[in-house]
Amino acid sequence: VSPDALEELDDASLLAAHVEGDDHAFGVLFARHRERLWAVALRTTGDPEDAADALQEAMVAAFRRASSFRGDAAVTTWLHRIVINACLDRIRRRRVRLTEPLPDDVEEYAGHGSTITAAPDDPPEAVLAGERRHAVVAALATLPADQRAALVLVDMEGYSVDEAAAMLGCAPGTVKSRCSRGRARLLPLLESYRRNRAADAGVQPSSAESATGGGET
Amino acid sequence: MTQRDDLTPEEDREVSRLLADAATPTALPPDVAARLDDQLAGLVAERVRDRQPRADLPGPGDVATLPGPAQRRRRWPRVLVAAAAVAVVGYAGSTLGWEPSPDADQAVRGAEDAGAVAESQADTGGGVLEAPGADRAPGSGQAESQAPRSTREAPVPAGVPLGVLADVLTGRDARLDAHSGPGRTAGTDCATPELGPGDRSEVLGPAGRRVVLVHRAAAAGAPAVVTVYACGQPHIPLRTAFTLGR
Repeated sequence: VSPDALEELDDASLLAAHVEGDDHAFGVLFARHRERLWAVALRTTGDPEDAADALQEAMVAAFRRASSFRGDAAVTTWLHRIVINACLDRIRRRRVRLTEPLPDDVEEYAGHGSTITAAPDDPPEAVLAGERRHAVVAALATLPADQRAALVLVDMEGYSVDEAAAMLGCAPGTVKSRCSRGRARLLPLLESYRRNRAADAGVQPSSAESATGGGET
Repeated sequence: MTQRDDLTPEEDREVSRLLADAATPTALPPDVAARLDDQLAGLVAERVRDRQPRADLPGPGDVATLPGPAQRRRRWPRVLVAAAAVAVVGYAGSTLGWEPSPDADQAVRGAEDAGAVAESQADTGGGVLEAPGADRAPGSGQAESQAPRSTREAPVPAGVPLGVLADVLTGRDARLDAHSGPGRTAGTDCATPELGPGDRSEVLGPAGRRVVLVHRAAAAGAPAVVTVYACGQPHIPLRTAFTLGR
């Protein structure tokens, strides 16, 4: 199959061509999805180096195990699943060998600025948005890996619960549960940003603590 | 700061929004893209290399050609003739009074070469195969001197294909009919039950000894066999010839 013709093929056909021995089909397929896979890897691992390593591992695994694809899910789902598994493996290995504590001090800097260095001429909104993103990513990194992966797929990448379940290899109910528990753990870490965001939007944050006058900044 | 497990729906949505806002587009860094490209090129090269036949292993282009039906048929006589030739070398002298030849080893080698001759004959349409080495084994010079030169007119036993006997009983094996008189005996003294099934014919062999030829029909895919036994010694085959396509 010529390279031009490969570009016309859908994902499943490309994977089949790769299994049948086409030397270019997998490259076309992976190039089609690697930006989004990179985003998933980066957000799941929370670290560019780990994300790069995980994505590379996943690519090798997908290349070599393409014949195991049974076609009962979309190819992109299968690729995401391999990438996420590579990320989770990497997170687990990192935790085992980690000698420094996880960033459990996120709570302390959650409301006190960010380690992101803003350019002097960035508009204040951009600086604030950057700080918020950094805080969210840092808070996300404190979650258990399975909750983190579920939130990355559903809340950050916009996949449906069913799609995420297929990628994670679990039931949709499990994904919902992981998302709920993950958000519950994130809420106190992101409380100040939630208030700021609500203030920017001109609405009162809908917290039980806020309603009772409690809460924290 | 406390953690609650039961977020309100609105809180749940707000955290979701924060997460979604944090999901800004993240382009694949060029260095990571280059790493992936290099790795993929390596995988493809590895795959191409694995597909190529290795010099020390048979590859798709090096698969040994299995013998076809004709070749298999030719191989049968090659093996069996070689075995029969050895048997003749070992037993013919004592059974029929031939002197053992000091060239017995050469006879064995000849038997090993018989296959090549047999194949050659089969290729040219020859229907009868036998071991030339065996022919020469027991002191061929002496045998030749004792044998009449013209033996092609030897009577043909009934029930044995003409082509078989033409080789077995003629110049290529003159010893068998060195004393060809009548060439064929009418009696059935040698037709012992131990010889098993098959068409039998008795002929006079060297020194006037009678031998019996047993023609056994071919099994499926195998050649028919004509075996020469010394009369009275049915368990000792003196000679074996094979016919193709029977």
